[in-house]
Parts: sequence; structure tokens; C-alpha cells
Amino acid sequence: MTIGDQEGSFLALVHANDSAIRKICRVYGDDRAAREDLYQNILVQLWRALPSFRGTSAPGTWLYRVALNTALAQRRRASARPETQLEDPDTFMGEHHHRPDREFEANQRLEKLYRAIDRLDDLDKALILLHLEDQSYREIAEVLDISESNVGVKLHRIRKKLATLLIEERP
Amino acid sequence: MRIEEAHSLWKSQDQNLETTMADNEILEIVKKRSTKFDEEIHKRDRRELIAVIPVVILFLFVFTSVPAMSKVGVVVILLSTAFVLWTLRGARRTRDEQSFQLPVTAVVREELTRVDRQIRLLTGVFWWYIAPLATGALLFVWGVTGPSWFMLGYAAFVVVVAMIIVRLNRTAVDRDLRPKRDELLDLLGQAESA
Repeated sequence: MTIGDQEGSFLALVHANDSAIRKICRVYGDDRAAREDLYQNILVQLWRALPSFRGTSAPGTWLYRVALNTALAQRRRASARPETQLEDPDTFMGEHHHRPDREFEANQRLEKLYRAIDRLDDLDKALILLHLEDQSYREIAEVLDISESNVGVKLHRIRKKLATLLIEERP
Repeated sequence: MRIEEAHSLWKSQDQNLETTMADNEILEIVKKRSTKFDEEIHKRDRRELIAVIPVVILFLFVFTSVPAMSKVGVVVILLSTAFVLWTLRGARRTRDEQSFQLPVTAVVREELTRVDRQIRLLTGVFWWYIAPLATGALLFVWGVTGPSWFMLGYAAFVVVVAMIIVRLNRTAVDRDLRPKRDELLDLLGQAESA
């Protein structure tokens, strides 16, 4: 793969999956700086890994693996993590402070959803994130290396837990 | 909010998440960070070599002019230095580009293996790092000075330094590596539990 080819494939990959990458950063990054850092780290890992991508898994599966592995590794590196602080609506996620009411309400609800997800275990976060991203059980199983039936059981439990957390979360 | 709503809400944010960075900006970031990453690894390797080269030159220089006992000491020191370098590099060998492409739990297992290896190395630092180098140094001094008070004092000094190094390494294991290991085990536990 020439540099030109690599750049083209890389940019196409980033553009096609940018929202998914940013959502991963939002889920695993504690604040704006951590999210920005994670976003750039994921891009770097994708860039470095791209030349050795052989297509043995679907591009989406491959991307989620690289992104989630980077996110989890960054969390492990981060020292003592302060608890849940999804405080600031931030421009990293394309939000704006002055919004029409309906959009503002939707963003409030989204904040609530992220706060609830943040209270899940790290692996459960990955599972629900992939589920919300419409990944099939098989694809989720391939990203995480657990059985499809285990994915089903876990998602059932996580959905129930998330529903409870969403009730508990105040807007 | 019901869980079904969460799904549509999740999808609704896609339109707000388009990147604001230009293509050349993205490429600049990844290339810069990637280069920095490589440079850090090379810099560390270079630093180690720079630290070792004067030691090797010095001992090779004095090799012909010291007694047989010291010659044995020099050989032990040089072999130990090579062994220590090899062990250190092997232990913290950076993850290659392919490993993040593995499934999440496979990467966690791989990381756990790496952490276990580091724990073994740090807790056994006396045997692979201190003992060979200290033995070589003691043989060298003994050869030069013979049995003497200086030799005894030097041996005592080596023992004290060794104890401090062992203690520091055990502290590092307890403070950094064991919590990391627990965290990795917890992640694997999350994956394996239904």
C-alpha cells in the first residue's frame, strides 16, 4: 500500500465512521480533554494498523476493535478516575450552547443517556454501545470475542440495568 | 426515558457528529503522533545504549591490565549487561500494530500476560539484575584489591544498594502493577460472566 493509498483509505474510513468514533470517545472519556486525546489516539492506532488490515474481519468489526481497545487501554493508563462527570455539553460532540428548545431537550435527554451508560462496567459500556450502533450479535461477539449467546444474555441484563439507571437519572 | 427511546436518541446524534477537521489536519495529527510514538521508543533504546557503551569501553580498556580474578569480573559484568538489556527490552516490548486489531478480550488477556511478566521481573529483580552485576563488580574489585577492608566495605555498599532496589521494585509492583492486574482480571471477569 502506497502512502497515497493509505491516506485515501484512512480518510474514507474516518469519514465513514467518525460519529461512531466520537461516541466511543464520549462514552470512555471523562472530560473534553480526555475525549479529544482519545479521539486522536484512536485515529493514530487506525492509521498505524491500516497497512496490516487483511480483511479477515469486516471493516466495521476491525474499526470497533481498534477503537475500543484504544479506549480501554487509555482508561487503564489514566490514574484514579474521578467518578461520573458528564457535566459539560461540549463542542467535541457537535453541541452548541444556544439551541432551539426542542434540540436543547433532545440534548438533555442524550446527556441523561450518557450519564446512565457511564455508570455501567467498562465492558458493558462496549456492549451497549455496539448494540445502540446496530451491530448484530455476531458482530458484537467478533469484536469482543465472546459467544453470541453470551452477547444475548448480557445485552438482556444490560438493557434492564440501563432502563433502571435511566429512571434514576434526573435530567 | 424508555430503553427503546434510547436507541432512536442514540442514532439521532449522528448528524451532529460530523468531523470539523479538514483532511490535511487529520493526516497531520496522525502522522505527527505516530512519528512521536516511534521517536520515543527509539530515544529510550538509544539512551540505554548510550549508558552501556561507556561501561563496555571502560571495562574492555582495563581488561588486559587487571588480574585474572578481575578479568572474570569484567566478563561477568559484560555478559550481565547484555542480559539485562535483552531482558528489559523483551519485557516492555511495545504492542505491535496488529494487536489492537484483535478482539477486546484477547487484547486484555495479552495485556494480562505482559503485566504478569513485568511483575515476575520486578519481584525477581535480585536474580536477573542485581546478583549478576554485583557478582561481576565484586569479582573485579576483589581481583584489584584482594581481600581487604575496602573490599568488605564495597560488598556492604552493594548489599545496601541491592536492598534498596529490591524494595523500590516491590513498591512499584504493589502500587502500579497489582492494581492494573486486578483491573484486567475484572475486565475478563465481566467478559466471562453471563
